[in-house]
Amino acid sequence: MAAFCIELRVRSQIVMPAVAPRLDVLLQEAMCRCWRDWETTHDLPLAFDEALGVYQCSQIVFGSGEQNPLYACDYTCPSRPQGLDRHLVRDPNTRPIEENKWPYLNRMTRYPAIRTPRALFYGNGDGERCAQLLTLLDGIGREYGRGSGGFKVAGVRADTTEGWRLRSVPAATDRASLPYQAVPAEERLLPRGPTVPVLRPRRILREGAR
Amino acid sequence: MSSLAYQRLFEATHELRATAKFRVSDPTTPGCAWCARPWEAVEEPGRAVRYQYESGMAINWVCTTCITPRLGSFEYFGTERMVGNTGKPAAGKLNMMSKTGAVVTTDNTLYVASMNAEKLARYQDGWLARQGRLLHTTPLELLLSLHADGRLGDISEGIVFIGAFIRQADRTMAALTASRDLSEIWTNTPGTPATTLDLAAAFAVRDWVHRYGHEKIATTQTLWKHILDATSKPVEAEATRPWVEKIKGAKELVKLLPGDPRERRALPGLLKTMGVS
Repeated sequence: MAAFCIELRVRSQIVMPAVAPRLDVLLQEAMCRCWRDWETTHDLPLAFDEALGVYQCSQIVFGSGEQNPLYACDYTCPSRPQGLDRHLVRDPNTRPIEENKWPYLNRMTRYPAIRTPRALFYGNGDGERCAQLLTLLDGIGREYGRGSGGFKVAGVRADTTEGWRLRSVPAATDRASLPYQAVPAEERLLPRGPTVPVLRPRRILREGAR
Repeated sequence: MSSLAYQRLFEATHELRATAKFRVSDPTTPGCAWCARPWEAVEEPGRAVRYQYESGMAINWVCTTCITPRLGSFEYFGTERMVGNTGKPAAGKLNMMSKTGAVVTTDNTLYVASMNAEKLARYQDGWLARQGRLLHTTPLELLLSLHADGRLGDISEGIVFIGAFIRQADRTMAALTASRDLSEIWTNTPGTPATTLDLAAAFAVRDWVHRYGHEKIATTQTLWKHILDATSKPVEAEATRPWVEKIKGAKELVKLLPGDPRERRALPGLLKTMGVS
């Protein structure tokens, strides 16, 4: 078990869900895909913190800086793939798909998204195995099945900054011990655990801003 | 999914459900069709409303909390309009008020803010207006005023801010989220999922503006152009140098900005709403 940092090259915009993507949740999904078993709670190649009752892994951290800033953008896609045949949809260049019509019409949905070249996940455990598992995922965040949040694992390096602490912890934890400005919320501490009160970092975390 | 937001809205709208006409029956589905919570987890377990937009369309079993924005009440709101040729009155509903939002405080009190003057005039005799909780203002101004005079309560206990109601109440209720920190106010605006406002940063920037005497440029392009440009495209350091030299305390301002570029974009609007200009 060693502290590691997985660096991702992000190739399309990320539509952030209400709860920021976290490494243990992504690995759980990857294990489910690996074994084609979505019923079992799999053992993850991460160290388990007995005191906090969580896996030692961080939520997504955007690797932004002066050279690679973080941008806000929109990710637009049709609300559903049905009815997109050429003879049903006019050329979007001349007449866009209606965005605000009746519910049974197809429409373009705009998602607020984040554009960044790099994203990081910190953890404590088998970094190489975690990186290998991440490659089984199509993307990160919402609408990953339609091309958003696409990524490639760029590398794994050792971490000396205890970056795995950038994650949600039980609400009873002392705020002063946390390396971030905590926000109270309710979410799952484990991939298949119950929803409980927690303290967590902001959803958008920048590497340089820590 | 956190159910605090649903609990707050449910507790704040007892009067509306008491005066509205709707039929409750036993559901035939595992959970609410709109908020996706199982029946054991909703505020009134086992009590559901059968909802169908029009005949021939899908039947939804909806919990009593989720159906609340669609409930019409003459006593709670008033008469919304006269229907077609029949001339029958239709009761006011939350989801039929455009340009309208709401705030539920920590003591479960619902305040409705609307810029829809026509509807406001019609609802003046309703219970909500008589309580002084139907106000002619924007939802954000309402939130700030409630925070300023302390009626909002301790935000760490959780409040609900709904930036805008739309006719499709299912979209409003699908992911209602409570806000527990000033630095992360969930807007709960359908169509813009998972959007937050950083009021803590806005207050910090307001103080910065007063400290350096930048009131005249507080919401202008002079102050915000480079910051807003940097949220969507690369900005050369050379290009920002004159700005840093011109604006007193510019480096301090940059440190106060929220990390989320979308929240940065919202800052000039927030300052304008706060009256800093």
